[in-house]
Formats: sequence, C-alpha cells, structure tokens
Amino acid sequence: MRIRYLVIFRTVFLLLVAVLLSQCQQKKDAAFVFKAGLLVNEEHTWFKAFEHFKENVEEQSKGRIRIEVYPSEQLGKEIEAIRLIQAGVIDMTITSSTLSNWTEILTFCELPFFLKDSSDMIRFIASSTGRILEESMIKDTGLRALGYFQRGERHLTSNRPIKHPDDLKGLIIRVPNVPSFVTTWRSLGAKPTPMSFSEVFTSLQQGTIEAQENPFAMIKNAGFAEVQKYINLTGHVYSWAYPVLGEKQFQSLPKDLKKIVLNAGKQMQYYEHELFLENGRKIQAELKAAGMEFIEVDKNAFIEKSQEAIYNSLSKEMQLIYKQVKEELR
Amino acid sequence: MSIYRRIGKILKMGTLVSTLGLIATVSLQIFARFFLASAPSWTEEASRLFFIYAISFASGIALKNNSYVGLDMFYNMFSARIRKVLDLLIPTLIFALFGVVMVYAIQFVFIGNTERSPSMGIRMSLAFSSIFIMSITICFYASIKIKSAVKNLKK
Repeated sequence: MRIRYLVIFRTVFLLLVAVLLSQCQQKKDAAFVFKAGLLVNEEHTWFKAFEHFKENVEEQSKGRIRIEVYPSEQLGKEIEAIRLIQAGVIDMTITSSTLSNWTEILTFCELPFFLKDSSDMIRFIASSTGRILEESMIKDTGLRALGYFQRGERHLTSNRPIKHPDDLKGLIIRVPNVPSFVTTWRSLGAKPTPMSFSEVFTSLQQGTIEAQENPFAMIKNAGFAEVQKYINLTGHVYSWAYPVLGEKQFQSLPKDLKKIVLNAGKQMQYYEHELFLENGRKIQAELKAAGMEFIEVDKNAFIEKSQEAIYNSLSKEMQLIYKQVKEELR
Repeated sequence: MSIYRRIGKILKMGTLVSTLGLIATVSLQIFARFFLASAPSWTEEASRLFFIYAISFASGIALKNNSYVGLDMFYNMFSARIRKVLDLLIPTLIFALFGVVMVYAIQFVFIGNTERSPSMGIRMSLAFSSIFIMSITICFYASIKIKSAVKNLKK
C-alpha cells in the first residue's frame, strides 16, 4: 500500500516539476512580455480583439514582444487592473470612465444624453477634445490608449413600459456608482440606487429594485429576461472604452516596436468594430426570442427633462468643455 | 507595557468606530432606499471603507487574542517539542508575509494619491492606508508572539 502511494506521489511531483520547467523555457525568448488583464470572458468581442492584437504584434515583432491575455478578471477587476498597470505589475487592460477617478475629463466617455448616436461618438473621439482626453490619460493616469472600442448604448429595463419620463415616477432603478447616472435618473423623477452589478439579478427578483439599465449584451448575459419584461429604448448613454498600455511600458520599447504596437492597436479597433456590429444584431434577436418587449420612447422628453441637471452636476471646467463640444457637434 | 496597552486600545476604538460607522451607513442606505426620494450615493462607498477599516483595525488584535479560526488536527499530532518549534515558526511566517505586504502597501499609498473615489471624492491613499495599518499591526503582534515563543523554546 505504502509503496503505491509513494509511486503516485512521485509521478505527481515529477509532473509538476515538468510543467514548471516547461514554463520557464517559454519565458526566455521574448524581450518584452506584456500581460493584459481583461474583465470580460473568452466569448466577448474585446477578448477576441486582444487575441487579434496578440497575433499581429507577435508576428510583426518576430517574437520580440509577447502578449499574454488573461480574461474574466483573473488579474483583478477594472480599477485594480489600472492600479496594477501603474505599479508595473501588469501592462494592459480595457477601461473608460473609471479613469475619471484620476482625471475628470474622462467623465465624457459615459455621460448620459451627451452624444446622440454612434456617428456623434466617432466625431467626438476624433475631435480636439477627444485628443485632449487621450493626452490627459497619458499625463494623469499613465495609460496610453491604443484605439477605442464602441460599446452598446444603454437601455432601461423594467416590468412596466416606460415611454415618457412621467412614467418613471418613484421607480427604483439600479445604477452603477457613477454620479452622473444618479443625477440623471433623479432629475427624471426615478429613484436611482447605486449597487454593484453582481447583486442586480437577485435584487430584481426580490423587489429591492424595480429596474436597471445596461447595454443589450449585458442584459442578455446577466439573464435579465427572466426578471424583466420590457426594454425601453432610452439609449441614454453612448459610450466607448479604450484598450490601454501602460505609458512607462510603452516608452520602454524601441522605436520600431512602438510603431508595431500602435499599428496593431488600430487594427484591433477595426477588427473589434466588425465583431461588435455583428454581435449587436444577433443579441437583439435573442432578447426578443427570450420574451422581452422593446418599447420606443419619447427620447426628446427624456433629454429635455434631464439636460440641465446633468450640466449642473459637472464642474466649471467640464461645463466649458461640454458647451464647446455641443457646439461642435451641432 | 503601557505603550502596548495603548496601541491595543487605539485599535479597539478604531474597530468599534468603523463597525458602528458601517452599521450606520448601511442602515441609512436601506432607509433611504425605501422611505426617501432617493438613496445618497456616497453610502455604498462609505460603508465599504468602514468595513475595510473595521477589518484592518481588528486583524492585529485578533492575532493577539488567538481569535482566528485554526485547524489543529495536524498540530495536535506532533510532540510537545515540535509544537514549540511550530509556535515559533508560524508567527515568523506571518511576520514575513505581512512585512512584504507592508512594503508594497506603502507603494500603493503613494499611487493612490492621484486617484479619487467616485462619489465621496476622497483620495484613495486613505483607503489603501488601511492595508498598511493592517500589516503593520499584524507584524507588531506577530513579533510579540515570536518573542514569547523564543522564550518558551529556551525553557
């Protein structure tokens, strides 16, 4: 008996050593290793885009750069990933308005009723203000944007149809902990409650909250069709996210590799956009099939009622930029 | 000895205040959610901060009072002599681990200086300091344990 255990023990031990050693071998060949920590799982378009980026960079740099992609928050949540990049532990992630904790101007990535549609968004990112956004990211947060990923617009889900802001009276809506979201829904007459995303499903089931708002993909992935009947097409937030690389890490690269990374970043953006469009169509059909009803809303009434409160919630400097951008996009 | 007592007292007060703060903010949040026009958004953040601080103040004292959950099945299998060595080894390992944590916590306190929390707008250094407090108090009480274990070993 004892001998058999010993044999098993030895085999397991040897296997472990072999695995460890084989990993050592791999690490030697590349001069730069970038670890990317993503919050999404392997099915998500962002992950696929990063795989695309990895292939491109590794091929073009002839193996001098190696990218390791870790999906599903293995290396920490979004905000932790940002801090870890600043500390130099990991190198890449995808982020957006979370960065407004460091530099206020990034609130524009996720400001309700700020941009009308996705073409507005593209124009905004390419505008001078959009460039200031990316510069202040480098300066204040130490992160360099390699492109941007469009996100689905956010819609309100509920158990009674909401066509007009007047229908919102007293509705308890879960919002993420973003001050401008709270302001918006409060000014529209609802009761916004900040809550972490993981608690939303149970809270909807138990009636702690009555409604929530998210893009189609999130509504589908979280299975909200089981606890919510209507999707009200409020489309209140057009937002996007930046795939980022730590600026320190970027500056450590020689010139030719910098070029390869920036170029592959742009390629990743185009690739992701294709996937995003394809995915969007599929998901809407799936939500309808799951029994959710789509409600057209009087969007102008929503905008009119909340605009002033949103504007007032911004600081003086941001109000200036807000006005300027609205003027430019008109 | 009085300085030890004073540290213990400060930590106990810290734990008490943070726990009461936690209860107060969570109650306020629940109350506001049902009876007021809207729930203040800072409560979610404040309660988290209080919770973290409650733990970080309490974890040193918990080590001192042996109030952590322990599995003593293996421990009891050893002879008295080896147990004495373990009594020394365990706090030494704890000391080493939290020594490392402490050093890196200082780095994060500096990094957190540029980051502000979304609804209260406080510097994240304040939140990250809790880890520093936790690791330094655990190191402190672990070192006391090491001292008494060494004495015990010599007997």
